[in-house]
Amino acid sequence: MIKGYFKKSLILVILGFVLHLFFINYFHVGMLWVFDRATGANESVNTVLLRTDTANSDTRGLKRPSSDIMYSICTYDVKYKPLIITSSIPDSYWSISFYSDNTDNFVTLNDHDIENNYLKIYLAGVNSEPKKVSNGTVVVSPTDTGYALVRMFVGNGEDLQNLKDIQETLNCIEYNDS
Amino acid sequence: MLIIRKYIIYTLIIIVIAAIFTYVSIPIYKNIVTVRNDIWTSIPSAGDPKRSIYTRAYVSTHGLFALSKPESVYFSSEIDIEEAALDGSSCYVLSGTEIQSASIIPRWWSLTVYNNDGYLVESTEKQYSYNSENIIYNSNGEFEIYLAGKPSNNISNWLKTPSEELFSVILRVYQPGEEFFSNLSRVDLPIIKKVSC
Repeated sequence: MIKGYFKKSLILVILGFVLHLFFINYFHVGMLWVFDRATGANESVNTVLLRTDTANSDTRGLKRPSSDIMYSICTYDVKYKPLIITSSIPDSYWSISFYSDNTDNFVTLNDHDIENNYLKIYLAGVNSEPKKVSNGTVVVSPTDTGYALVRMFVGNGEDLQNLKDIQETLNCIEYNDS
Repeated sequence: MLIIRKYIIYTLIIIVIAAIFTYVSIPIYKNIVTVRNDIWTSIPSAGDPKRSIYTRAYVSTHGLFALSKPESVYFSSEIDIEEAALDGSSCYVLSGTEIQSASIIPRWWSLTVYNNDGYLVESTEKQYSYNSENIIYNSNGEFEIYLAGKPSNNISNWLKTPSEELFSVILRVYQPGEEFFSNLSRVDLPIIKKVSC
């Protein structure tokens, strides 16, 4: 009788632990759900979703935003076609970071990595690598969907208008190379 | 009917056990995934694809899109040097020198105050942070930031804190160099000291 209760309790604890691991493993999904709805990322893909000014006290959707950075976000789906991302680059800190659908940061390139102050990236999925590539860097996403996040440091704010102009040059468009 | 009721009870018990595991694990995994440096805690490579599921979950609660080594490291503090929680009803001075390791100076850094919900504090001055380019240094090469509800007559750098609410400070350091990452628990970082308002 006691042995039976012990066995049942042990099974319940093990199942509880497994459920806990499942919850922890997919915790980011809930946070992304909130982010997607706050920013419209759930309705817009393979395009520049946001070009933000520096964050302020009204900024929501993303916790702990930096008020020293201008953010731009491209949500992507490269299951069938790659994406071309182009942008001018300022002389100050600039970076583009790629996040897979579980928010892992699999690649980051900054202004020091990019030649001639001009970015051209072919972002592909595992099964959608571009056939023709000219003057660009190929980045392969481990998942079909994800986020490309551009950060521009505003420093003392003296170059803000130039940074805003550069922010407008960011493009994320589907690449038809067939 | 009895069998269905029995399985519903079992399911509820499993959910309760999972919730208990999660509740208990939060402070434990915080200690496991973070590195402590005096009043600051950091995650060595917050956005790294090789991070554990606990690190990913912890980072998700603090801000979804974290960068990895060597691009950036984030330090967070919710306490002063007496290990008391940072409280908006008190006043503090955050002081430090140039943030660096050995002779390598990071590309840039910033210090930002967040309210208890993780958002920027409402401020008519729109000054939510200071960075390595806009902070005003003292003549001795050090800097001070007054953290309080109202500005100080003596300290030029002021960040408004939320009134009657706990708050936190985040230090972002960009491209600090390999040595900095190797010494996250030892690099000299600013201190936060409670002062009379």
